[in-house]
Amino acid sequence: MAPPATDAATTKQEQQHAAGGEGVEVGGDLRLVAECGTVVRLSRSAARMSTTLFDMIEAGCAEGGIPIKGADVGTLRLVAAYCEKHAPHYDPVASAARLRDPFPPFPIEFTPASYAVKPVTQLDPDPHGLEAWDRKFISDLPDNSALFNLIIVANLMAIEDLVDLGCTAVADKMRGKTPDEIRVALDIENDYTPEQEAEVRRENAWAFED
Amino acid sequence: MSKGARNTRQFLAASSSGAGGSGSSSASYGSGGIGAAARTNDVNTGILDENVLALVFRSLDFDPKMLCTVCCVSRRLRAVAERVLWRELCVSRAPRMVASLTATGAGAGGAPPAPGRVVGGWPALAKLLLFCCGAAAAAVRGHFTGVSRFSKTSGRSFLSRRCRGDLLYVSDPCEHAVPGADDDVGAYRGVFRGFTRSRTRACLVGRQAPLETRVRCPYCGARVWRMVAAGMAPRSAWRRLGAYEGRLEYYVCVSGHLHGNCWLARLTSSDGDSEDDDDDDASTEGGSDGGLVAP
Repeated sequence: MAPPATDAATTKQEQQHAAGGEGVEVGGDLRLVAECGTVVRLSRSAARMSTTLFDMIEAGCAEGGIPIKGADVGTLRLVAAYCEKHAPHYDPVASAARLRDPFPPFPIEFTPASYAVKPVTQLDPDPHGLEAWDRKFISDLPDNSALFNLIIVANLMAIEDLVDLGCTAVADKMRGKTPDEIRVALDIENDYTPEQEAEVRRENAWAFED
Repeated sequence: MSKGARNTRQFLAASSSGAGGSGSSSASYGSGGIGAAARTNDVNTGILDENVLALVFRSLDFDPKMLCTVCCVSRRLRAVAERVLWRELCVSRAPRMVASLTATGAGAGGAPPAPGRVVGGWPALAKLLLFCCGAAAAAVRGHFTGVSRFSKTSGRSFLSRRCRGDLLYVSDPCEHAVPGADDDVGAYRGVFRGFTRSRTRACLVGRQAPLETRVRCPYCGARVWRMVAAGMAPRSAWRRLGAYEGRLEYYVCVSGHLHGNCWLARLTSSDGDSEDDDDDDASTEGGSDGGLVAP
């Protein structure tokens, strides 16, 4: 059930699991317990990306297994892989500064990175290769349901960046498509009768007039 | 059109029960092609989960075109959109206006979590915020608008003296040139707060004002009263809009949506003829108005 993209990560985790033993808890890795009981290990620095886990670490209740309700092993492994990859370059201030609930809701052209000081010359826009890795991460997901589970679990664990990534991926699948294309792309069954469908289309045609 | 209104109400009733569809249709979800793996728990998983949908649409900024498209995809999505997504669109476009429309000041019935329900439904309110319905009489087609401004002060001018206690938001008139006429037609729309408990409705019912047979609310499909015929269109209304005397027409539907049009007078130098009823014209009320609504 483990997707091929995370083989490297799972191998690493298995090594940690084998070598680390059971007693290493203080200052060691966190143990996330999936719905079926399997443990997925996550290093403390990677766990900082999840606001929930971060708060738990600060409060000192991150010892022992942390059950993640509603998460299956595959999704947890993916989340762990994402966190491990992004942890060295994670900037909580920048992440929080990215406006997720913008008002006004249409984009206004700001100067780039208005929250940080930038050099005059534009350096490499993807210095750590993170964006390319993210794209590969998303495209390597086996199917839509894996993507949706990823969003749900990332939301549960309050990993804003991963939620953004997942939602942007789904939004890209939906943007600019007709209802039929969306049904195909997201594998949704059409449960309207033809009359109802015609009615609904007429009702919702107003957003497209002029 | 009446059949359409009944269907709308059926959908509304179904979604408000929280089941997301009538009893017979929910059985079909389990066998539908939702995911490859068998799901033992809730069938509304993945993209049909309303939390996921809310998050995805948040990253789309609740684009109304996307919302309309997604409503046509499946019944479940339409139900979620009606309950959550259209509401979030309204809140993101006009937070203060929505907050004051859903505030239960009179404490009628149970207090819903803010904002829970709105009379007429969230899709109708979203359409009202973003769609100018034009003027059927002058053959002006409706269109999707850009920024609209809704104002309580304008709304006050549409209330007769007895009904000044009601809260009504009215938009600025959207000007349309009519071929073959010198003047422009202004189309405007508005919404009452808590129309079912308002004095305006009480007056209309008390006068036994008849409901129109040929006109329907363009936002929720409900039946409307013609306010000029009912004798409830005050002079301040056409003065506020800058229209020709008495040449305006507007309708209020049973859910409290207002839509109307008027012939706009050419602007002359004699502006600012405000009398006692137009004293606080956007100066003090400006801060607490509905404000700008963007697409």
